[in-house]
Amino acid sequence: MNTGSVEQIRVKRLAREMESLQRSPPPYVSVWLACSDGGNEAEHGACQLDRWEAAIRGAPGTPYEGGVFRLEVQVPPRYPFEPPQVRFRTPIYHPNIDASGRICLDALSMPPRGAWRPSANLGTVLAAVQQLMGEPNADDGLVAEISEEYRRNRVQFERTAREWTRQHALGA
Amino acid sequence: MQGALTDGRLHNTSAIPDTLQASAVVHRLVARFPHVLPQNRSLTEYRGWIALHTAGVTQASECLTAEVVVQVRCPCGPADMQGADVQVDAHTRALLEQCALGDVLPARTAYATDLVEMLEQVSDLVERCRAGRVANVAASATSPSWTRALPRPEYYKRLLHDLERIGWEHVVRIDDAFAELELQVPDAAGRQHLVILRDWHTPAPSIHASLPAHVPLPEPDRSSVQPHGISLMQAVAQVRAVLGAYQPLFQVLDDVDQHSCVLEPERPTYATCIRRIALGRHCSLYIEVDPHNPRSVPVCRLLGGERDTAALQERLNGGLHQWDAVGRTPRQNLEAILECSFPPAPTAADRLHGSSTEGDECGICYSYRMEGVGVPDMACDYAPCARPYHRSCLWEWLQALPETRQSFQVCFGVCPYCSRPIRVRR
Repeated sequence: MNTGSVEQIRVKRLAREMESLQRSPPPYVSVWLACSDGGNEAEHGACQLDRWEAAIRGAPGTPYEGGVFRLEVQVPPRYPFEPPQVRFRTPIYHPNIDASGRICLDALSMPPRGAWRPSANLGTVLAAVQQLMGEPNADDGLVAEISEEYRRNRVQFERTAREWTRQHALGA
Repeated sequence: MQGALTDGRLHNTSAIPDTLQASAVVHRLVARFPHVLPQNRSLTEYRGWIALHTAGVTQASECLTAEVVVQVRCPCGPADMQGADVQVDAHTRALLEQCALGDVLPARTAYATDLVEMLEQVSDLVERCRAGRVANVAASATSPSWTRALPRPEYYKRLLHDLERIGWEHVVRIDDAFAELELQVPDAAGRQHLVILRDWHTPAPSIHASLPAHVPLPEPDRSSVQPHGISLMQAVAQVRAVLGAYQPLFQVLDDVDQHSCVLEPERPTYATCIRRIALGRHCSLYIEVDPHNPRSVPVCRLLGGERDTAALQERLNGGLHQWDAVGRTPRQNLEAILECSFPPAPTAADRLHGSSTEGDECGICYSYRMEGVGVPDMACDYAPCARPYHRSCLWEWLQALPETRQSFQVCFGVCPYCSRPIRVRR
């Protein structure tokens, strides 16, 4: 298949995803196209299909409760044959998310190391990130110190995570 | 002590001067447990044995005999089990202890109203042990012993009486033990609320309804004969009172749910005061209504691209002083301030239309007809999956994977949806 038709697949698919995300977004998740500023308000043509933004509301019962976390989603040219790149823009204290916002989640990388499949999409990937926030995976930690703390001193971990939420995620 | 009962002795026992009640119990005793006999004229001591139905059950243990030898002392006579004490033989005691049920016997028999019922409890418990239903009972051995004791018969009488007065048409479900009930309770405006009563037979029952706060339990009815105090009628009255207090909240939430497209929660209920309302163009408004002051300004948050939300945010910041808590509902206030009308909820027909073509689309490109390729021309062989694909889309995906095997013009891999083997010819 030449690159032209991969591009055709990508555009068609993203249009469909946009429709369904508008109709029924995953719980706690909002996604929208990132548009460059200065574009004409009325036309969505100024928006690039490859840059999306998302916000995840911290779920009740987690240390992120009450916060709104901003993310950026980069859709690669070979999407959906390659996974989207998702990165937190709001600082978050979490064993699987590092200081630059990179997320360690198998749905976000290619097999055999990862578990990306074209059956997943932006919505399911963001839902997985939302789930990861509430259920960290300390055995596969990205940040060793936070993983260690999560395992050994849960109270301290939750206190810090709540403090970070208060500092960074409340004024969205 | 284990002699058979003759007509003469039966006549003798009933001739003993005692209350009518006591002799009625003894008559029932003779009918149900003919091998348990009174040991004195004041009918306060009994000895004998209870024959078991499950005597044929074979187990490796040699202590399984067909009877339980019992000895009962009831200082207040056979019709009043106050201060009563029951002893069983050593084998049975060992069996009960083996099943971790040693302490259950006194708990169960404490609920008995007369001698016959007490012996029924003994017989039931031992039979449970022997019939191998032990696992069931022992599983709850860690919880307080009252959970394993059956309520007094009065509990059921009272419950049925209450249910009849409430009306069976309001009953949605009752569990086997008559301990958990689901009722449909209407409020003043005719909204139906599902109310769940849990652990109703225990001293610690609870009332659950779809509300932002807990329903408090009514005060126990001291005059009632019910052992645990709260009548169903009282509970329903209490729920109605709480529902009455929340009427303004229900009106506000109903107004939002009926006149806008609520994205979250998927099925809005009165249990949560949070709503995420679609504004169109990937923007949404998240609101949190104060349950105690629902017509006041809710917590508001705009979600979406800055380009679209900036103007809305400005209107929101600048317009909140126009909030009219009396003349307009919060939804109408928000529409006025944001200078827009919320898109309506999709109708059933919209939903149907949205999903009608979904089944036929390619699982990879999400479209049906594609230029130069056509419509999906293959599907997963596994019948429950049967996901359709454009051959070219699946080929492209399998080519991207290092674990895919290729032989001439055929790729072998797994279906991205069901993970079963799939192959595609170029």
